[in-house]
Amino acid sequence: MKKRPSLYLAAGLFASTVLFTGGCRRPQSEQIVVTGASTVYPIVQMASEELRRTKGLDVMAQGGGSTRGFEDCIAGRNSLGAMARELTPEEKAQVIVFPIAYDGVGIVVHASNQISGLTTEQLRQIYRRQITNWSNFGGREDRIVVVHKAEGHALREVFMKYTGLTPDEITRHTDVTAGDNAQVIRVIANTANAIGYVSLGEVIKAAEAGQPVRLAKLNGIEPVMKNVTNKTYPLFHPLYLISKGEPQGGSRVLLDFLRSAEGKAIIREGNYVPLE
Amino acid sequence: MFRWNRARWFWTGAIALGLLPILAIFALAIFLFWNAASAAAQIGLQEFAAAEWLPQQNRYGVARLLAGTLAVTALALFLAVPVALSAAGYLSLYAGRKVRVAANTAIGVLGGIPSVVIGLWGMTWIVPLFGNSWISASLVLALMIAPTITLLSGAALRLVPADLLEASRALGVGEAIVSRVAFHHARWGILGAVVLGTSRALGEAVAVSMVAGNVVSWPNFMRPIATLTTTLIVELDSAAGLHRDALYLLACVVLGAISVLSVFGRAAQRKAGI
Repeated sequence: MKKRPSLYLAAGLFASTVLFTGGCRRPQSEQIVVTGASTVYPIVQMASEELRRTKGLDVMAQGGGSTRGFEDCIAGRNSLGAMARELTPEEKAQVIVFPIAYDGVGIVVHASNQISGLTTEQLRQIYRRQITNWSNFGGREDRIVVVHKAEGHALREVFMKYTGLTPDEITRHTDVTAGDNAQVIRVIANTANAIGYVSLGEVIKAAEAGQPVRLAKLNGIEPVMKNVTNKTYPLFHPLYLISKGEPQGGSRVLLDFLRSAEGKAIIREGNYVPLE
Repeated sequence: MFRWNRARWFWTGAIALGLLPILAIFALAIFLFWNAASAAAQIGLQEFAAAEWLPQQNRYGVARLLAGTLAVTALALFLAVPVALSAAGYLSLYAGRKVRVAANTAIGVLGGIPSVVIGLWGMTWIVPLFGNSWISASLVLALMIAPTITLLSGAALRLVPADLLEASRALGVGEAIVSRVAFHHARWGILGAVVLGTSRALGEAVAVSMVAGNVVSWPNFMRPIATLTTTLIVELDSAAGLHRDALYLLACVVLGAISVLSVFGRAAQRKAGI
């Protein structure tokens, strides 16, 4: 038999291309895609489980940060964008904004840390390195390790706005930069003298799961859901879903669900505060 | 006429699977370059070469990140190479077969530990001693590349002809000289091992990001440090627009450096006959 290697090669290359691109099918038209802030992700995830069960609706949630949520929305790459920060005026002009809930920002320390709480001014002093030891707050004699979130995360901006820190102060005084909430919690759980800020619900969940982290009081206010709900706890940020035009079909169903009594119960379950 | 029979199915399948990795690496490279090109055009070379990496202010200077990567890698090599080469020398030239097999198996397992596990170990054992710092990052990295360098240079040393070593011994020189003869003979293979270890160090991200602190700054032994890959890890999940494209540009730099080193390392190994 005469071999014809070029034919095999061509067939092989073709088959290989098919194998390689086989996974890249376009999403089905009825699928609802939500991209953006990872803080909103758990809410959409929980709602999608419920909606799949009751209405057969296919909702897919993806992280990527608030700014990605906005850009995907403008470019039509998602059905709804998720944002965990205030929109800029230019952003607001281009989309329809649906407030979904808000989220407390917890000041998180290691479980073995004895301090009961901090004031906003003390927090500022820690993050500016004007105070560098836990003994100043009645804790043990230990250097304070300052943990920040990375550039582009909504919470970093929320925290900066609340404390009045400048970007330059952050670069000069940070010990650890972490990415998402889980990374911050992992750093604090493994560093007895660290301090950071994370979505309140994430800390409650992590502590319930046995991770050695806990929340510190802020200005004497207990960091519990009740105080976030009545807004006595001072550090929180809004969660939004955004849409390029008037939401239709599945997007509408998802938004209506999140504003129904059932949806609000799910939001509360995830340690977020639904809008009344 | 090209008719399908069993042999043809077999060859088509074999060639398809064989070409898959090549296609995958090309697809990956094209994806990265495509995304990075627009960032490169918008940022410009002068800004990209600058020191300030402040995405929120649209500053995308890579100099400190590059310095961080080079510093962490260099110190890791400085720590790992002497240990790895000594271990390889002992195991290949002097250890009995049983010891060598047992040790090589253990080293192989050490090299196969997922980097997130090494990172957790670093967080609990190294960070309390040295803080989130350049030293911590390099220590963790040294632990990860030492097995690679030990096993690959050990393989090179075992190719040294026994005649050569016996001839050296017959001249009455000490074992120090004998092992120098062996290392000299295996130099290309050892160079290849070190270069491949370096390329692994350049690409490692997870473990390093857990101990380095990831704060963009000029290298300082006891201060936090950020590398190209740790910046990718902490910023990619929330980056959008130009910021994300700039991160793809960082990934391109890492991919380019690793590709060059891998080719160079393999060439050195081939020269040594491995």
